[in-house]
Amino acid sequence: MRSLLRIAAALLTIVLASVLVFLALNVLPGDPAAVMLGTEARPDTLAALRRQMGLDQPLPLRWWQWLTGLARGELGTSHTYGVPVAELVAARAVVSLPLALLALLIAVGLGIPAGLFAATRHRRTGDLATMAVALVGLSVPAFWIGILLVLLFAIGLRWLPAGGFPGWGAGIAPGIAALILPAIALGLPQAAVLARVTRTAIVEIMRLDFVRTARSFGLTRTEALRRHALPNALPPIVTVLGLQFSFLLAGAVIVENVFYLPGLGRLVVQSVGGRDLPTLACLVMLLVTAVVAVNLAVDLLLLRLDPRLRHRG
Amino acid sequence: MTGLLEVERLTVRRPGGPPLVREVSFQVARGERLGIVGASGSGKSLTALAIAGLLPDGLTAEGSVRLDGREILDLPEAELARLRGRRIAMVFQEPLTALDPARRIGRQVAEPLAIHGLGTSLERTARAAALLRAVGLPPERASPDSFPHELSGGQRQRVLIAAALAAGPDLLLADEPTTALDLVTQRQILDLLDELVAAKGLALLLVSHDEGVIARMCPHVLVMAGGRIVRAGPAAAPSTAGAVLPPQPPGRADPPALLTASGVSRRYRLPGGATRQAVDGVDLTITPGEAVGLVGSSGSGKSTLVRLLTGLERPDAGVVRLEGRDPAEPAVPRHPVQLVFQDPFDSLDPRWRVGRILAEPLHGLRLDPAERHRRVLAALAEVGLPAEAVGRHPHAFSGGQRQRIAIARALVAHPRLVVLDEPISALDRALQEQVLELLAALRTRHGLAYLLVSHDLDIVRRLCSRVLVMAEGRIVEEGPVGQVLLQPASAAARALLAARLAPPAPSPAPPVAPPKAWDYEP
Repeated sequence: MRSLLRIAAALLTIVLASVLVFLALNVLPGDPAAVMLGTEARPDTLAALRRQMGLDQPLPLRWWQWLTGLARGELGTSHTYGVPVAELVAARAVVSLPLALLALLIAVGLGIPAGLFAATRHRRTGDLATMAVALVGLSVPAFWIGILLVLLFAIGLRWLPAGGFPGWGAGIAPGIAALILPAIALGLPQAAVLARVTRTAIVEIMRLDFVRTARSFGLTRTEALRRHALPNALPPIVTVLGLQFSFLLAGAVIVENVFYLPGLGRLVVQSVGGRDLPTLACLVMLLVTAVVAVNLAVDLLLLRLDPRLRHRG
Repeated sequence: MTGLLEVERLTVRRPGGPPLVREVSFQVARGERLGIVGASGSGKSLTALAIAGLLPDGLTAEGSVRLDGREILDLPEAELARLRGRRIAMVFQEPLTALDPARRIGRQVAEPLAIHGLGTSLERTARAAALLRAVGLPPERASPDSFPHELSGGQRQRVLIAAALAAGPDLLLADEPTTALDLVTQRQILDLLDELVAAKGLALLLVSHDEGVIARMCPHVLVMAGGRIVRAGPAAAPSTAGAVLPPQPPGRADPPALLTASGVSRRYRLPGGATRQAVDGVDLTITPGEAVGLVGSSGSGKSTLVRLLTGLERPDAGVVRLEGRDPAEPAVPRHPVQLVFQDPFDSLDPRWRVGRILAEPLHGLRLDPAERHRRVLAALAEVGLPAEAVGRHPHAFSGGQRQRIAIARALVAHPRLVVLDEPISALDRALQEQVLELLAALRTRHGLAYLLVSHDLDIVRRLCSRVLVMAEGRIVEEGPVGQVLLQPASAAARALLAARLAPPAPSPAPPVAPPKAWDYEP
C-alpha cells in the first residue's frame, strides 16, 4: 500500500516536471518557426510552417502529444544534427551511463570503507587523518581534481589518456581506460561525502544501548559494529547515496567537458548553445525521470531496511 | 568456598581524573544473590559494567576481577567477549533502546547461541522460541518474527532476559532492570527474574537505586556512595516517609473552577482501520490552588486526557474550559497552564541555552527584555539554581537539575495550573525526595493548582488531596487520597495498590489475583 503510494507520487512528479519543461520551452518568448525562417520570412510562409510543426494547435493538446510521444519513444529530430534525438541520446548514454556507474562504484568502494575505518578509530589519529582527507575531497571542485589527474597520470606518467573517447568499437579496455580519470574526478568528492556520513552514522549508533546489549551477548566491539551498527547505519547512507546520484548527473556536465567526453552532459551544453529545443527537452525529461526513479528506489529500499517505517500509521 | 565472582580493589576512572569507583571489593558465590544500592553517580552501574568489560569509552578499570579464580579484568577484548553471554550475562535498564530495532526478536534471543557456536541454526531457532515462551512471551502474545518496536517496554525487557539467559550463563548482572517500567510491569519482571534465577541456580548481582527492589530479590546488599562501599549487610525494606505537605488547602466555600471538563472523549484511528477509544466521557473539575492526582496503569488514557485538558488536542466530543475559555482555541493565551514532563533529558532542547529555554513561555506576553530577564532569574532562584545557569546548555546539568530547569520553565509565566506528567519517575530515589519537596513548597508559595499524573500512589499521596483513578479511558474512581488508598473501590485502584513493593502499614491490602504463572520449560 505504502509502496504503491510512493510509486504514484513518483509518476505524478514526472508528469508535473513535463508540464514545467514544456512550458519553459514553448511558452517563453521565441517562436521556433520564426527562428527557423529568419527575420525576412513572409507571414504566409510562417503560418504554413507553424501549421506543419503543429504550433497552431492549443497548448494542452501539444503538451499531451509531446508527452505521449516521449512515452512511445518518438523523441523528435534534433535541429542541430538533423538526426532523431533518440539515436543521439543513445549514442551519448553509452558513455555517460558507464561513467556514472564507475564514479558511483568509486564513491561507495572508497567512501564507506573509509567511514568505517574512521568510526573504529573515533577521535584517534586514523579518524582525524581520514576526515582531513575527506574534507579536502569535499572542498576541491571536481573539474580541478580532473585537471590535476590529467597532469599527473596522462601528461606526467602517461598511464592513461588525457581526454576524448575512442568508442566501444575499439574494445572494452581502451573505453574503460578513457573513463577512469573522469570517474575518479567525479567520484572522489562523493566518496568524501559518503565517508563522513558513514562515520557519523556509525559513531552515533555505536553509542546506543543495543550495541552494548549485543556486546553483552559476547560480541567484540568490531563484531558488534559489523552485525548491528552497520545495518542500522544503512538508512542514512542509502538516503545520501540517492541524493548523490543527482550530483553525479550534474557533475557529469562539467567533468565531460574537462575530459572532452561525448556524453549526455556535453550534449546538454551543446543543445543549449545551439538552441536545439527538441534535444534539450528530451534530455531534461530523461534526467528528471532518472532522478525520480532513483529516489523512488531509495524510498522503497528504506522501507525494507527499517522495519519501523513499515508499521507507522 | 571460593566465590564464582571475586572483585578486589576495583577502581574505575577517567585517565588523569578522580576515581568514579574506589577500591571496591566483594564476592559472589555460585547461586548467590547480592544487591548493590546507591544514588545515581555512586558508581554502582560502573562497577557492574567494569565486571563485564563494557565500560563506556574513555574509562579504565584497575584492580582485580576473577571469575572462577581466573583474572578477567585485563583480558583482551576478544577473549572477554567469549565470556560475555556464555558465563556472564547482563540485563540493562532501558528496554526501549536496548534491542536492535532492525532485527526480529527471535534472532536476537538466539544471537548469544550463534555467537558462541551453540547448536545448529534450526536448534537455535527452536531454543529461542522456547526461551521466549519461558519468559512469558508465547507466540500468540509476541511472535519471534516481530520487531522490537511492536512490543511494549515490559515485553522488550522479557526479550532481553530471554536473550541474556540463552547461552546458559552462571552469573547475571542486572543493572536497574525494572527502573524504566511502570509499577505493575516492574513487579511482573521481578517475579520472572526471581523465578528464572532460582530455577537455573544463577548467581545474581542486582544493581538498583531502589532498596525495595533489592530487598525483594536479594538477602544481602552493598550500599555505595561516592564510588565506595559504605555499608554491607542484610537487605532491609525501605522506611516509608511521611507526607511532605498538609494535603488540605485552606477551606473555601465552593470556589470557581479553574479547569473543567465535561463528557470529554477522544478516539484514535489505529493502523488497519480499527479505532481505539483513548478517553471516554470524562468529567472533572480543578479549583484554583487544588492539587489533584490522576493515576492509572500505562495505556489507561492519562496522557491523552492531559493533551485534551491542556488544549494540545481537541476532543471528539465534550467541552474543556480553562477559566471559562476553550484552551484549544489559538487566540486563548496558553500561559495559565504549564507542563512538566517525565524525562528531563528529552524535554529540553539540547541546542538552546537555559536562559532561552526559560524565556520561551514568555513569548506571547510582550514583556520588555529587562523584565523577561528578571523573570527568568527569579524562576531559577525559585528552583534553587544559580543565575549563571542561564548561559549553559542542558547537557551541563544532571538529571535532577534538568528537572528543576523544566519546573522553572513552567513557573516563569506565572501559571495558575501546572500539569506534572510523571515528574519524578525518571529520577533516582534521593533526587525524587528533593524534587517532591520543591514542588510542595512552590505550590504553597504561589497558590498553584497541580494536576499530577502518575502511576505511583505514594507520590500522589504526598502531593495531592484528591485523586482520580483512570482505566480504559474512564474515570473509575474519585475521592480524597486517603480514602482511595485505604478503601479502594475500583479494581484499577486495587491493582495499582497491590503493585507497590512496600505498601505503608495502615493499608489492608485486599486480595488480588496472583500474577500469571509462566509456563516455564527448564
